[in-house]
Amino acid sequence: MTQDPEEQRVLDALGRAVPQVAPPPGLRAKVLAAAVREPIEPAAAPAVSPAPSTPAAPSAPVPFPARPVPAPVSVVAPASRWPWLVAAASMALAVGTSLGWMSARGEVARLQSTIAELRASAAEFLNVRAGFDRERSDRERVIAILSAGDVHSASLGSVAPAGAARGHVYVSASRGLFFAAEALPPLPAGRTYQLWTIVAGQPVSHGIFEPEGDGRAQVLAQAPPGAVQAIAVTIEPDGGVPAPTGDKVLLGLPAAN
Amino acid sequence: MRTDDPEGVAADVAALARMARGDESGLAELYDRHATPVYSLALRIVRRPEDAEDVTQQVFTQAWRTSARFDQSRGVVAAWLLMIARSRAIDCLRRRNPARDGISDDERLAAIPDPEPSVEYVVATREQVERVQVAIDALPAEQRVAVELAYYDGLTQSEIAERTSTPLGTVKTRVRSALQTLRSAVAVARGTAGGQS
Repeated sequence: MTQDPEEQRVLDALGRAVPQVAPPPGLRAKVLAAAVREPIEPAAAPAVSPAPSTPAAPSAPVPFPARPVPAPVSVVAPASRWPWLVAAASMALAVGTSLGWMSARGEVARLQSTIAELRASAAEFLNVRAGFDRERSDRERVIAILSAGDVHSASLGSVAPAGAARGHVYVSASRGLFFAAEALPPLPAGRTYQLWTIVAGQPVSHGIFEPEGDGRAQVLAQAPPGAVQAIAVTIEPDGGVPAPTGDKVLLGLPAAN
Repeated sequence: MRTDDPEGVAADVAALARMARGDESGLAELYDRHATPVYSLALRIVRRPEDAEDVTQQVFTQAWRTSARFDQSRGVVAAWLLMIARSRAIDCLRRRNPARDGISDDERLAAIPDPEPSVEYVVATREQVERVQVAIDALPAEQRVAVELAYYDGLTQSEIAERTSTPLGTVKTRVRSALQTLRSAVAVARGTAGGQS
């Protein structure tokens, strides 16, 4: 259908029968700069149409030329007796340069990727190490509390008659407070456990905590500011409260000193 | 430029020859004469200015790259550039919508395809373009839609049939009839103004 010159004329007219819009002014410089970076294909290259040599033309080629007609003399580079050799050499150079550049670019990309991975690994390692440091520090504090000369302890039992939860608290005025519990039931969303001591008739918060999946929990805290009259764990809204408002779960009384 | 201007045609060939020697001024000259029709066709097909700019860049890059291989016995540079513009613009559409690319080559050839390798680059005169514009507007709506989908959207006849919920045979008839009408319009204009091929 499109072999016919008259048909070609119709198709060209269709292409020109669209509203004429001037390209943006900045496009000229961009196009010229981009185009001249490309190597010029030699005139003597064999015409292997219809496959085009352009990678940007996967499906709608404009193969060119179809007939291997020698190019006009004015089109052939006049400076060489062996234009094909010059052309081949320049193409090889262009391809080589291009491949070298692509290879270097690929290497840079790989190195950047490796650096990013190493950074991520280092960050992860530091996190893990910080976690170990915290654990070691906590263990040392617990040991310090348990072995302190002024340590007092108390057992906490479940307030609910059939509750299995129980706990233990160790208080050293000089070293701090260590609380451990087990069999604490999981809480609904928006609720948290909070640990209290009662000192001089007033509740003192020792922080909120989440039990592990197996119901166990531990809390390390500052020592209460006086003699402990009672220890309790209550269920409070997320974030905790200044004074207990919710249901008591565990309750304990220190042994008489 | 006036597409029926012999001086412009010769100047294009000279500019292309300069490009083939690596002279960037040849490309600048070619751009100045043809960027508007190339960009306009690209914009009509891809509809997004940024894509039309990209297509325009591809067209002139291809012209630069293959400038040494241009065979002026094949036809007119202006027609060649516009042919590249349509091909690159339709490529752009297909990249945007890869689902459309599941069609076979046989099927693709059924619509208004890219020219065969041996085709000549034939340019329409200004009067022929004007007559085609008038003739398109005068086409029955279903023929106009069919030819526009085929030329400006690069659809295959099967795709046009699907898009317009029309039997394939009817689509083929419409495209053929529309092209025949446009051909007559061009022939009339040629009889009065002459043209190049």
